[in-house]
Amino acid sequence: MSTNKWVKWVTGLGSVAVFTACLRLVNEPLNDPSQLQRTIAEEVNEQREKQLIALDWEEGNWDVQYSKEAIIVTPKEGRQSLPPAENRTRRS
Amino acid sequence: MERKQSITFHGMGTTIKIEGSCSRQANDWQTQMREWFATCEAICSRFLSNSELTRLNKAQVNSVIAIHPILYDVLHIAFEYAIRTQFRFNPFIGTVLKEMGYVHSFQKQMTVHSYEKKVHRMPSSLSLSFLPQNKAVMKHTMDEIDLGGIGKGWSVDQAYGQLKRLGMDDGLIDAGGDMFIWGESQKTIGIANPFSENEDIAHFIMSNGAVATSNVLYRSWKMNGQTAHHIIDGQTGQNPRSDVVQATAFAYSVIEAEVISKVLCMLPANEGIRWLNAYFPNAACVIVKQNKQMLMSPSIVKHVDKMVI
Repeated sequence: MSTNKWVKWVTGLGSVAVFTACLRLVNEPLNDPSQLQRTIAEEVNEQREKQLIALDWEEGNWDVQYSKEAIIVTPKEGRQSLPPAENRTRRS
Repeated sequence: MERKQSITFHGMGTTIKIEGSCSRQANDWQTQMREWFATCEAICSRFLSNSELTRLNKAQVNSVIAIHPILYDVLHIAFEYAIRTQFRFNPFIGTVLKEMGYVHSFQKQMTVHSYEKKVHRMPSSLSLSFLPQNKAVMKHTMDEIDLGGIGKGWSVDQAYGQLKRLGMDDGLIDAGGDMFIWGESQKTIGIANPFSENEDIAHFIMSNGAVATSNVLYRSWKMNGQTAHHIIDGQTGQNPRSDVVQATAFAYSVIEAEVISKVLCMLPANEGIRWLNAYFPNAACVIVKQNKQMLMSPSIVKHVDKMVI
């Protein structure tokens, strides 16, 4: 009878402790706004990099090489230029 | 209800186009913009004999010279960028440009017959002394100041602020290829092909930020049989020797994009990318080399939503 009582107590306290620890784990990154911002910014950047790399460059008239320092784009033979856009940046 | 409006006019030696949507009725922003750019040109141009800059260029050294607050602000930021670029961007190249024959505003190539190359001159790397309370400066050299595109860049940045305050929440200012873009809508921008003016070398899509392009081919001239151009390395006082023919910079202000694009035309392409990453890591660039290869900084993802080449 008394053993059962202690088992119940230990189980109860253990469950509360585990639950609290889980909550802390889930909430901790959210409590640090700078960490959260960094994570979001990193995700956005990763997504954009993927988007950029996924562009149709390889199938166009350019050979594209990626390195940490620069994206190097070399024209293929017979490359066609693009028609002028309505808004253009040019020599000033 | 949003109303799309646009205006195109001549100003600051180029064509200025402004378009955008106003969420509320803006009081005659077109007139305000025309007047704004006319005022900036009248103050900052070294080609106008009665401009505030010309008056400053003629003033004596070591005396306190009160100047228009607009010129004061432009000079202050110009010398900040001179320091940040170790005087590669150097406002004191006015005399060097004059001695090279660049004495009046022009588009495309020209031939200079009447100028002979004088003894090589190093532009001063002294700053002005700034007296903020009086909006005055003190010169320490008679080298003349040429603000280059930086006066135009500054004017565009300020125009953006004015238009935002007037209720234009989405828009684009294009001052001869120096652009500021803002708002929700995505805009397609072309980068002119330096080897063929009527074609584009790339298109990009963006909704916010500043873009400027410098090019050593377009604004060039022949002097004594040799080709000279308007990009002067402020550290040497000479046209730089580089494999770069055009540089497009992306930044958060046009003035910064303008300075970066100029400096990138002074450095070998690979060195330029390293310089950008070291000194302006939040900016980005697209460099076109003599061999028609393009180099882009990976930071371009911060500014551009999509790139089409």
